[in-house]
Amino acid sequence: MKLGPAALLFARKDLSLFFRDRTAMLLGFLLPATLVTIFGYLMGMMNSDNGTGPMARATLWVTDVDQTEDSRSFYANLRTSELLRVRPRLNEDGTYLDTAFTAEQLREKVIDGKFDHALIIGKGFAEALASAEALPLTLVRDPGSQMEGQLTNIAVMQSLNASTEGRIFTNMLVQNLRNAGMPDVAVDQIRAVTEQQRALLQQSSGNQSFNMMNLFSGRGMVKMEDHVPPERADNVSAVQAQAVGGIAVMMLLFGLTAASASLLREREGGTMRRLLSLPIPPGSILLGKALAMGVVGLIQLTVLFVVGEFLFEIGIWRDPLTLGAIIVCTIAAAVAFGLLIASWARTPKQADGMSTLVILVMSCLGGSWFPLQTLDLPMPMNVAMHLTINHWSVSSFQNLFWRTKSLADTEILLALGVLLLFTVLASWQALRLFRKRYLEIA
Amino acid sequence: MTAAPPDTALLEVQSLSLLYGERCAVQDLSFQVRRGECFGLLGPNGAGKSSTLGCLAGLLNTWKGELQFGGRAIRPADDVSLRGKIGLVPQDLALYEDMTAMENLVFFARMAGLSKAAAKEGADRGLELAGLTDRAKDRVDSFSGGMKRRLNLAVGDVHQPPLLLLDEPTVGVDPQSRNHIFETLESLSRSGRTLIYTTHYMEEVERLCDRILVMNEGVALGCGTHAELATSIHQPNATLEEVFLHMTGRSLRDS
Repeated sequence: MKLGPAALLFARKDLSLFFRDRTAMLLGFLLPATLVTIFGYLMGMMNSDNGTGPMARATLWVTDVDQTEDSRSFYANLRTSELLRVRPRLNEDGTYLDTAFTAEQLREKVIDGKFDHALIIGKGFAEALASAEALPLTLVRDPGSQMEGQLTNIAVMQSLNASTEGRIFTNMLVQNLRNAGMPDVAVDQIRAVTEQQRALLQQSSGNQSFNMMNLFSGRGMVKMEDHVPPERADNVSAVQAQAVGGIAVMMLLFGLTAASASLLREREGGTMRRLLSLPIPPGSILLGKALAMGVVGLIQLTVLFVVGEFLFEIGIWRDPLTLGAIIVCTIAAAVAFGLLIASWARTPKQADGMSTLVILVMSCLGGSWFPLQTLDLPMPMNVAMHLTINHWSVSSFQNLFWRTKSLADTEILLALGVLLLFTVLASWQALRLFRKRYLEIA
Repeated sequence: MTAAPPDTALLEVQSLSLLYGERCAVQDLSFQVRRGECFGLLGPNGAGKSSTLGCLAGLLNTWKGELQFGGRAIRPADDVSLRGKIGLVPQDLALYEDMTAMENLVFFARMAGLSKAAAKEGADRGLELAGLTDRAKDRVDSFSGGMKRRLNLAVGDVHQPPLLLLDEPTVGVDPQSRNHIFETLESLSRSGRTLIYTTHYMEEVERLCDRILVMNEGVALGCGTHAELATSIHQPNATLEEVFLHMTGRSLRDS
């Protein structure tokens, strides 16, 4: 047979085998389609600017000390921002749905790591606005929440602009004036003045460069008050803490699911029949697998967190008890998940396909890839997120590393409880399937 | 092949039945195995030989009927302690390929309940039995098919159970290894061990087994010595193959 017909015949055979192989189909079509759908949807949420979809939002707690018409107008404009979830929320009758905190209380909440951002509209806001003086606006923040911080800055400036009908920017925004049609001569004069300002700023603040764009970021209007929990390193960002925890959990799931496939290899290799004929309780085989997987998981997480500590100072030594509890619960849930897949699947190939699909989707939805807490997820997606191991585990690591919370915190306790509940349910189901698959039809 | 075994039954099987879904793998099977004898289960593919061994070894728990081991009614799948007294040499090579021969033997001996020292002793004996003493520290994946078969047998016997179930232990081996396995089994039989041997090779049964149960489609067709089976079909001079074909028919078995 010549090259062409032989190649075609061979390709036909391979295609025939591919389309007969459900696992290959699953990995080849269903998995990419699922991920593209979820990814596309989430990216759409994060970048939506036409008001049609949910967007990334930062939560901003606000207190209005000034209580004037101008401050209330500004506050009302903040509430309409698509970039913010303003707290406390309002009922329809104008009363607060959440607790309304004072300025000092809000400051304490940020210092304690309970809130990331709080805006204090200080006394004299209306007067300062009228006289073009510095506004008594203070943004108390955790500087590590960079994404939320940028959203807050933009929203504050938009709201200031809206509530003052643009008066606040007229003397500063040279570029906007040109865009608005001001003659070049006048713009040049303003530029000269701005250059003088830049020179003055450089003189007054050493070599610090002056960036015109900072005028648009809100830093010129709002006084920043940064608070980093004393237990946390200054240079750790929320995204880093999220990434370390998120990737660690995803890799743990992959690693332990692969390890659990050895249960299937025991069956395919024939050693399972021999083991089941020995004087040992059948459950001891599952338990033995679980223990071995647990040790592998412990080593894996330890290595990942030590690397995370070495590179990003995420703070693994700060609260070893809480870290240990989260690690143990996460490993238990991951082991149970691995055993469930291994007990359910009939072949290692089937287990590989299903676990890859489920782990990638769980990682995507559960916050292993990017922080979903800034998104207003629709109800079904929100529910799906809460059904993933990743969500509860990653949020616990985030609460420990980033918010420096401990086992005494209800959020961490709830997450650990959910992980343990998943462990019990998945283990029970795995044992049931194991008995069915291995003892009734061995 | 050996001196007449004592007449006391080590294993009694009464009305054993096993269903796989709606398919009947074993149907109303009854037989006795005497202490020290080598008992053959002979049948074509799909006769129910492996399923019968699965019930005896405790691998299956959905069978019906009665089993007695040493005079005690048992249900192996539920009686963990009993399983230590029944060894299994599965048809598949039930070995860890990336472990050494010694590691395999010690692991399964420990799982069978032997102490560390007894397991080591059993492993040494097993290596000798399999003719693999000089390859003790080699990984199983470096072994030939025959060596693996011999080790497979040694692992099944590592804890020296009173009853050894052998499920076609010579599949795919060369004549030398096959002969070695036969000699090993003859040696075990001479030492008073009870063996149940499944195969569809007549010469293996003729060489090894004291009595034979002929099965077909899950049903017992006859049980006895070669001479007794030949007499039962009214052909006293028939070879075992002639007896077998007479009882099971000549149609192909593809199940």
